[in-house]
Amino acid sequence: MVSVAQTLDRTELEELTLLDSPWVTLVWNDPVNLMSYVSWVFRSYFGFAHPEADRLMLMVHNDGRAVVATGGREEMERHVEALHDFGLWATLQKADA
Amino acid sequence: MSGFSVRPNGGASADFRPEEVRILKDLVSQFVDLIENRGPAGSDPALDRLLPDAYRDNADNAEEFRRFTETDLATRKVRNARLVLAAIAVKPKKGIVTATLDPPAVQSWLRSLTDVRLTLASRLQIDQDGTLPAATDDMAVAVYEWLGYLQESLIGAIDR
Repeated sequence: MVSVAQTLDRTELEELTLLDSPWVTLVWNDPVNLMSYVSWVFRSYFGFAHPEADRLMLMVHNDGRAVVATGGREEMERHVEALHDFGLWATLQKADA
Repeated sequence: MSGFSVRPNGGASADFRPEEVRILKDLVSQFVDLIENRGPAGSDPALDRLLPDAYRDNADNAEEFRRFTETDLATRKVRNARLVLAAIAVKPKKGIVTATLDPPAVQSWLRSLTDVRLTLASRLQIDQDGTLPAATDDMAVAVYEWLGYLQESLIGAIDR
């Protein structure tokens, strides 16, 4: 038999799991932004090393989009706002969406 | 047209001929007008690219994000544009305007050149592959390419 207390515990756990479910920041390809600029943004904003910044930039260019960050929703919203400030086309969504 | 070159303090500088100054001033001023007198989201494709939806799959979340961020983003875009205008509003020497940028001005120029290029690309209806429509104003295309060259040279000057 399951006690009420145990049920509550499980509910809280489920909510915690939902809250912790990661979000991602995506950058989408556009025909305007220069490859050198996109790579520079990734390095200067996220602090990526040159090879990682170029890898992500090429992924955006070739695949149409790339995940550039994973984490909490508020943090991803800050990234998206910063990337819009740079003129990059960025969105956020649930990691499993 | 020389493009930007590096300065010792981490800034950059470039020389502009009078017609280049006029074109840049005209476009950047128009950009300020566009942002300051913007309509609601969905009213202009250029604005929808400059201030895009942060959520593709959820209109309510996109609207809420916009409510909290759009005014600040728009204000920063206008401030960046005004720094571009300020840097070219200097007295010409022998007809040449030298824009001298300190590191914060470089940051503003990189963003504002992006904003103006995005706007121009939207007006020229450059498609997702970067292809231009057949009947395109050659002068507008030349200006668009010049702004790209200018931005590339500015990245090259600071990114070493």
